[in-house]
Amino acid sequence: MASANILIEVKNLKKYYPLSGGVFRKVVGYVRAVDDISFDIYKGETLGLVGESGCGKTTAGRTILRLVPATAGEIFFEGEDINKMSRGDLHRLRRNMSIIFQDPMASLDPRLTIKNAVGEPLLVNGIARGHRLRNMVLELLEKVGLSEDHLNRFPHEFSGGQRQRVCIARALALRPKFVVMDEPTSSTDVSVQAQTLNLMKDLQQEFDLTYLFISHNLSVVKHMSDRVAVMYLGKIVELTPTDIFEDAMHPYSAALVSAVPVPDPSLRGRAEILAGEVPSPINPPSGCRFHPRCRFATERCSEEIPELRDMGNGHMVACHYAGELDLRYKEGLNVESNAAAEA
Amino acid sequence: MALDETSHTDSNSEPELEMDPNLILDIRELKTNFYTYEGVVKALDGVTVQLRRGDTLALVGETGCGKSVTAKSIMRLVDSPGRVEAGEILFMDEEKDGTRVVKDLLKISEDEMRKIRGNHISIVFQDPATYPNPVFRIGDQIAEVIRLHQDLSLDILEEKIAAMEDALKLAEGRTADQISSRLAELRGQLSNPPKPTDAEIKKAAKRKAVEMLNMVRMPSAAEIANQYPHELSGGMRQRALIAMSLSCNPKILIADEATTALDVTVQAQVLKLLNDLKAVLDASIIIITHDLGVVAETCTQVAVMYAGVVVEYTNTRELFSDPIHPYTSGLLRAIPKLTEKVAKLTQIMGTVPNLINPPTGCRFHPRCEFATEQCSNERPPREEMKPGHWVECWHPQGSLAGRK
Repeated sequence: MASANILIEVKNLKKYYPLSGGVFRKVVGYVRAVDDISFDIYKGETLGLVGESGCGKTTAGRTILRLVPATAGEIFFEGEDINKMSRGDLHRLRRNMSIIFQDPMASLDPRLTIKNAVGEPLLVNGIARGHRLRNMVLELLEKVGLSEDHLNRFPHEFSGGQRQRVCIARALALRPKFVVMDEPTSSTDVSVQAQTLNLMKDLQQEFDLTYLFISHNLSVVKHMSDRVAVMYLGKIVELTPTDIFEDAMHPYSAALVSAVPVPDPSLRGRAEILAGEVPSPINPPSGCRFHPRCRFATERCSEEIPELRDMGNGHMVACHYAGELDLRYKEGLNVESNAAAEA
Repeated sequence: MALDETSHTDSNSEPELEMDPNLILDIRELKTNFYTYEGVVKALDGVTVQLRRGDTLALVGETGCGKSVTAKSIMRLVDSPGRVEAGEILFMDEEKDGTRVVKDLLKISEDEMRKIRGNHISIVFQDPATYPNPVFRIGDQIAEVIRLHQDLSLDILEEKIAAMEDALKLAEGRTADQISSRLAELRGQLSNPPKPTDAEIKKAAKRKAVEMLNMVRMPSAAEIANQYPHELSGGMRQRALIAMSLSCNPKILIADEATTALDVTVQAQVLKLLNDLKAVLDASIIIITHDLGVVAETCTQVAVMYAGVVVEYTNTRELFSDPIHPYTSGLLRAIPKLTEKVAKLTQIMGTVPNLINPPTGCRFHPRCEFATEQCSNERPPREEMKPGHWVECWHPQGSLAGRK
């Protein structure tokens, strides 16, 4: 093991979903949702996982928790391979890992009161019962900004932001070390999103949590994360310990970053418009998966799959020409912001 | 429809409507309510906003602030239990001879409204998966809009003449004479084209539909026109919907969260397309969004809505450089930004109020850090606090902080 600071180590993780067809429902192909990704998550950090719909970010998050079995690859949690664990061991380990889903209404049982929903993990694991359970639930609810009046209410009585708080309380009930956040704020409004993000940052400090933060929203990921991994068609194309907005080295990350509308009219028109859309993960392009949409693509890109290479300081890029390319949007941006500064 | 009582009155007997000639749409004191079992939802409470010719106006706000209801009120598509209760929506219509007439969209008859809806004012909805009819081909759906709203007789005649001219180049002797006499006859009809047959109209409409698909830069438009909606990706479906909305050269295009369901890279494509087309078609656009990034990127004017009220209305640069209403500035500080890193976001306390019992006075006061007693008792007037910068607030912030 490289370092004792590593909480989770993912090695060559793959998740293929078989497609069946024909009269005998034979397997005719695979959706390569996650195709050979490797990365580490350090203790206490937030790793952001960003990408467009269908890039495999959610599948990656669920496979890491073994909520769906991996097709191949290894996942080490504090040195133990989750994929090879027995059910009993996994059950014990599950206390340390938790997940918060995108849609809080769908992930709360409408017939359970908040007290029962948040208390269930404590009860199932035999940690507390009766009066003690109630007090522990109350303490959790207070941590996420809810109060005693909320204990006996049902999910439908809450607003979207409050429901997400309940989900956070439930996820933290067993004092996990690691929490996967799968698009936790994408169904909430801006003002509520700020409240939820602030809460999650506070809780991370208080409970010494490690987050895998999955989102399609680059601005939110940047705000929350220490390091950011960009996924495209089942592969990690870039993993940066620094600011993805400043330092993107992969042409896809650069285009993605430039396409995000920034709430500042002086930065208008810096978007590099990518042609076409994300291809199907059933028949991904050969070589570098981004090459059909990449303006720098050469013949080599369509033949050879680029490896994730360390470009210094742990900045990993999967591009044959990483560091050699002039990702022009940056210049445009600099010109604009300089002009704005002068004016 | 809720407006049946007024819709039968003769519009000529109304006093002449006044409107600034630079405007194309002038919404004044619009009130829309929804009558539900739990009570009356006052979804719009006096919305006043203007759209200038050639502008891109953003209606921006959080869920339930009334952006979509405003759009539906403009289109007169507010369904029961909703009803437009008060206000005026003045639209600068243009007759065929080019004279401009001001019409109040809330007073004209349903027949007249039907000629405007989809023709002069059209709308693109949020979810491209639900809007094209799944059982008709894309091209046929666009052609239907064209057939309903456009007089194609001149296009069909011109097409015939072009075909004859082509034939004339190849013909010789007597046939050539016949063709040229027929050609002269057709040219004589140009000033008053004859009524084409249904088959001719269908063919011409379909051809126009393919032209529209080409205009929205649909790859291989002719083939796409013969496909069904489920065969297209989200971005392509949204383009098809835009093509449909633009097929009658509308004067106003309303895009209701038109890019929200799309990925960022596709969203960038569609937003650029909209702004490019605006210049080509000489249209004005209303973009409804909750994303302040989209506003900054594409719009010239912004109206910020909160709980059924336009709290701030100005041009985009001004709004982002000097937000005056506490809600606007709060919102701007609450979004995480790609361009800067902050340890903590400034949050707006509380949640959006229930509009059955909206807060008294200023609807934002329970969440506002500057609120005083006046705010909870009296609704602030809509005031032009800086030139072209309209705000509804007792305690303006930004460059006007401490003025009152």
